[in-house]
Amino acid sequence: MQELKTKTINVALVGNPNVGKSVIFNYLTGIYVDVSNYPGTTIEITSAKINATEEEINRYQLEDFEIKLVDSPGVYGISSQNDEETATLTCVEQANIIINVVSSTSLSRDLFLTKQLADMGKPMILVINQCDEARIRKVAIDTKALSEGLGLDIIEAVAIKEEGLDSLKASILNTIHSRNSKIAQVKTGTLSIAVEKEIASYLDDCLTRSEALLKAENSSNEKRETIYKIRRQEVDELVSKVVSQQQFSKRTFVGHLLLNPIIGSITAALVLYLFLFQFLGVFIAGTVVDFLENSVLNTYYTPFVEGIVSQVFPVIKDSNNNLILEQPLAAIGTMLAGDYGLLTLTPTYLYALLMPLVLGFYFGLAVLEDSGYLPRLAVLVDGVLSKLGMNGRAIIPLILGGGCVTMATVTTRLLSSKKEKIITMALLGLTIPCSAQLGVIQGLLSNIGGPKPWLVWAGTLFIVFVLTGMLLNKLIPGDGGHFITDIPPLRIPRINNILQKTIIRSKVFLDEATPAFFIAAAVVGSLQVTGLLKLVIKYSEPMITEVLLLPKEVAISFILGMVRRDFGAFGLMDVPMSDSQLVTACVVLTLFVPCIATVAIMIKEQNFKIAMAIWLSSWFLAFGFGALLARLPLF
Amino acid sequence: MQLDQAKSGQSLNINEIPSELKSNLIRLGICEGDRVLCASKIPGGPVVLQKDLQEIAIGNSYAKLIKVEQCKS
Repeated sequence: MQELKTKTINVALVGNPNVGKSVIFNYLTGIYVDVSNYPGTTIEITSAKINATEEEINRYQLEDFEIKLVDSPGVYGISSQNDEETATLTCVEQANIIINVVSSTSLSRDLFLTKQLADMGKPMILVINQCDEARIRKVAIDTKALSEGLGLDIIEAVAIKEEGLDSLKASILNTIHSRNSKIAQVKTGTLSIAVEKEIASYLDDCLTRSEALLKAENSSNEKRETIYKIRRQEVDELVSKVVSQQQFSKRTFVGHLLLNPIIGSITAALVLYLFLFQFLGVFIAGTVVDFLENSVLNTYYTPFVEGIVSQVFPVIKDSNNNLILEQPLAAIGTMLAGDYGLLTLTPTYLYALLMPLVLGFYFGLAVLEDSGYLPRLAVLVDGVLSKLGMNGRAIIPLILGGGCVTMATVTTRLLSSKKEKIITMALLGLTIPCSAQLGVIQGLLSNIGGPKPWLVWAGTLFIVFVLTGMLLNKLIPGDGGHFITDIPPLRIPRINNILQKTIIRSKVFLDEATPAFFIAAAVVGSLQVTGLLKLVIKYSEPMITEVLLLPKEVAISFILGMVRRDFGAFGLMDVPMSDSQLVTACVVLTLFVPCIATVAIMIKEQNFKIAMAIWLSSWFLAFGFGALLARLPLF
Repeated sequence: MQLDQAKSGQSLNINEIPSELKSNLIRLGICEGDRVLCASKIPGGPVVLQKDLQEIAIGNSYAKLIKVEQCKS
């Protein structure tokens, strides 16, 4: 019998941020990874098998091999300067073959990494991606000369249109074949003679070339600069030889307008107004939710379910008595189809309210990301955020917070200094509403109508945001980190990518939210039928009615809000309130404590003390500003 | 002058980059002696430099540390 021996060949996708590695990964493995037009999307390393067809296996003699493709985080160089670089370095060291992806529009930047990789002496293939953008920008690249200059095979590709990816696959398989059979030479790239001199003394002590290279680069600042400078010169020389006259296009022009202080700020205000208010607030929270809730679920679904349940169990509404003791059967009925009904209110809330909002938020975010707008926004707000102890990069977690504060808190690790991490985390926990909360709040505010309640709500949050930021900036020593960013070109978002991203992110969110909501409904329902809810309301009543001047039933919202931010809105929908009370309730709910999951992430990313400080201060902020707002004669 | 004093539209020569920034900027494509265009300047905020087709934003606090010279084109 033939002995089965499977060897794994590691193929690593390496490149600068935002050059299309994830799209290529997606194509070659059939596995979707989040793709977006801003740096730092891939934090975790994804790997999957490349599936070869029968014919390919025969042609390249791959029977005994398993090919693993690894998607690494985008970096500008490899020297362990941050988490992404360390992760990418590990990928490169473990790789048998490197696929270096560069963008046709930023060769002089991207080839720097290419040279560094080439100096490591591993088999490598160069992919020039986004070739269509070079064409639009009237940039011509002499790939033959580039290939000779680098000593590498070059594949030209437009990954999002799947152009060139079949030849990439063939090239990968062919390289593996050559490597295994040792018939043909495997291309590893031309080593730089000048760099070679610099690392020569390290080669003897190290097992691998890459190790020697990194040791040399990290030995001293001067040494690193010398090597970097050599590389930069070589790249610039090469680029000036192979890239022809570069011209500006219309898109570069628009890109510049967005960075103009005045036009850019007006556009930013307009984009946020259209996205948050018109699209999410008016269209989704108003029109879509109204339609789903009133015309679909409350017309067809809810009465139908209530009908069925009430045939078996009595359903008692608006009762806070201890039904368990008095009428056990009614307790079951009430839990299923009562005020917090597991079968009535919970699905309505999940599918008529939460789902459209989450979809809407992630759709808008995907458009902003894929168009390349977010880095431009980061540039515009950098000056302002630096006054609050952060820098422009912080805008990404802050906007993501509008989707899910917990997930956004995870992305604070993309920031560089401890100070900006803590401040961003605090502002996320205190002032940024997550999409579910945003949804209910927008729904409530749109019931009042007009932009005024919305402005009062947003204005209060803005004031708290700025004051908290300024205060923390004073209190926390150090600086908020420096801002250097590469601005990707503006792109017209691809609808497929946007829809895919929207659906996948929403699904992740809803998969997690759905069971949590049913648990919450079960908890509140059982509190209600055991009469405990009455007690809770009774004891928290003074806080709510005296301090915030709100109806006592709102208490339950705040208690639930501690568990999950979005539950906070759970009971709020059906409590009758005046306009002023509604706005106050919305503000307090937004400022109130971050949910348990967020607190857990805060502890993991920072520590218990910081998480508790944020948690406790949200009590003071929420009740302080709520009390103030309730007494202002705004309505 | 320092980079933070540059104005939009100016063509600049990069004269001196402090060593803590050097390796970072070399990777992004900018090193001492380069000629770049100041594509935009946000008041109190970053300077956006353009070299070839690439744009790089440098925050105000860093821009203050970089010495440049306006070139006559």
